[in-house]
Amino acid sequence: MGAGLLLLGDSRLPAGGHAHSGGLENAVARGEVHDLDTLTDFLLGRLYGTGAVQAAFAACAALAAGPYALDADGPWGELDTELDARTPSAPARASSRAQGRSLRRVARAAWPEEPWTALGVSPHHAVVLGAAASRARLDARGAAVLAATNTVNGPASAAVKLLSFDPIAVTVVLAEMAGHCDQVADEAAEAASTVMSDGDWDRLPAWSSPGLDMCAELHAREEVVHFAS
Amino acid sequence: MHRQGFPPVVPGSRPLRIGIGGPVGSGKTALVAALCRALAGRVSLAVVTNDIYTTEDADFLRAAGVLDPDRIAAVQTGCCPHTAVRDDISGNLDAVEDLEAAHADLELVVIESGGDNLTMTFSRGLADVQLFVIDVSGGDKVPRKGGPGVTRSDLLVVNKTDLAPHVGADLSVMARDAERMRPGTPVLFLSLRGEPGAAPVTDWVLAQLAAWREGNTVPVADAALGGGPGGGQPVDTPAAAG
Ligand SMILES: Nc1nc2c(ncn2[C@@H]2O[C@H](COP(=O)(O)OP(=O)(O)OP(=O)(O)O)[C@@H](O)[C@H]2O)c(=O)[nH]1
Ligand SMILES: [Mg+2]
Repeated sequence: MGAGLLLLGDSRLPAGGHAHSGGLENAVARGEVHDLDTLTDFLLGRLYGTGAVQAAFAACAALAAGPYALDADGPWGELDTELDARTPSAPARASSRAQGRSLRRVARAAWPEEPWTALGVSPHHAVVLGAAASRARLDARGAAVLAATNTVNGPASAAVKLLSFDPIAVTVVLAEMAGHCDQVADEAAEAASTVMSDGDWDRLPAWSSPGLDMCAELHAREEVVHFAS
Repeated sequence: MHRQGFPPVVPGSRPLRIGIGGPVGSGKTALVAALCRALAGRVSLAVVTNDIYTTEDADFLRAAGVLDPDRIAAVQTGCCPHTAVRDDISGNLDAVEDLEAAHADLELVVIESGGDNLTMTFSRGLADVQLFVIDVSGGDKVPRKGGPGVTRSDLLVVNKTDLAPHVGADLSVMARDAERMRPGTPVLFLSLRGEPGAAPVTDWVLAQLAAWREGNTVPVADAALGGGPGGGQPVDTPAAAG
């Protein structure tokens, strides 16, 4: 895996991520996350729940895109429907699609010759991420690593802003998280390769994260918010 | 090779996008409301507000009745107002594109940043032209402190001149320092609580819009300061008042 991983994993990638806390703002507002221990619990729950799902879909999308050029005839519709079905909260679906839209804007600029519209009107973030990863010469596991780390890095940086945590202490938490991200990515890549060969979408991970769904729902009803999700 | 923005900006091909930045409370929203009132019936416009706390700015515009609610969009900035208009403009671009898609007649989109400090500027990928609003109550030293907001904006607005006597701000010092910090680029003094109101800024905006429609706008500051892409005509602006 080369520089493409750092390109797409860079928190400064101008794809809208800075404005999303992944439910953390609401968890903070309700006092559920208030110190480094509760942040760690939140991130682990997020990683092994929605993170595992996002990673598997990113890995599938990387395989669907193909190694040489973005395949316009890939199973983009199926991926979209399957991920929708695994995202019960409407605001969470909207946030995933908003981030997908922003990332596609960047990907389209970087690789203008590819048929990005094939991904759908308003594709999910994980699907765009996987397709972009393949354009950045990453394999399915690389795409899964990006998606897994993305599910914890965004909330972690939001925690620094909302709770005035020492950023170095938060980096220590993320360092502990790295091994978990690798494990999630391994499993996601394996599941993706099985499913992409036999087309049995039911075998993609479908972990639910009811706590995060609650965060997304309550956040969307909040009058005063700093983050888009 | 000179790399173009993405997508390359073709003046006149879509509504003009004007960025309004400046420190907290300097009068950005008051100026947007005044512009909306002045341009109502003449220019089809929409507003994007960036606010770190609430949708208060948008609510203010709605309450003032100067703009239909469906022409106002609010963007969350993730606690970083400058990031949302400079380093990662995704949320604002989405909002602008949605407004453009919803209103085929749109001619002008005004983007108000959240209140920030003097280093704040809009990315050229988001705003075709930008103005920076400071006020006299921050002290008459503000223009000489510089910072990209003061030095690189296309128009510097010094607001709340009505308060100058109360805060001991010398407007001639501010005018002189501004001229030194941004030679040859326009500065307008305003009071939104009385004369001259927003009229000088309205004229400036209309001049930008006219140039844009003719397909030849170039950011004034870039032209005067020698930065940025060339290839257009500087826009005439009304002389500084005050
Ligand atoms: N005296 C005086 N007050 C003004 C003037 N312009 C605006 N104000 C007042 O200044 C206050 C702040 O104005 P806003 O327009 O909300 O300022 P803003 O820059 O949008 O503030 P943020 O968005 O919070 O950064 C309000 O109470 C306005 O009524 C002016 O020219 N003179
Ligand atoms: Mg305001």
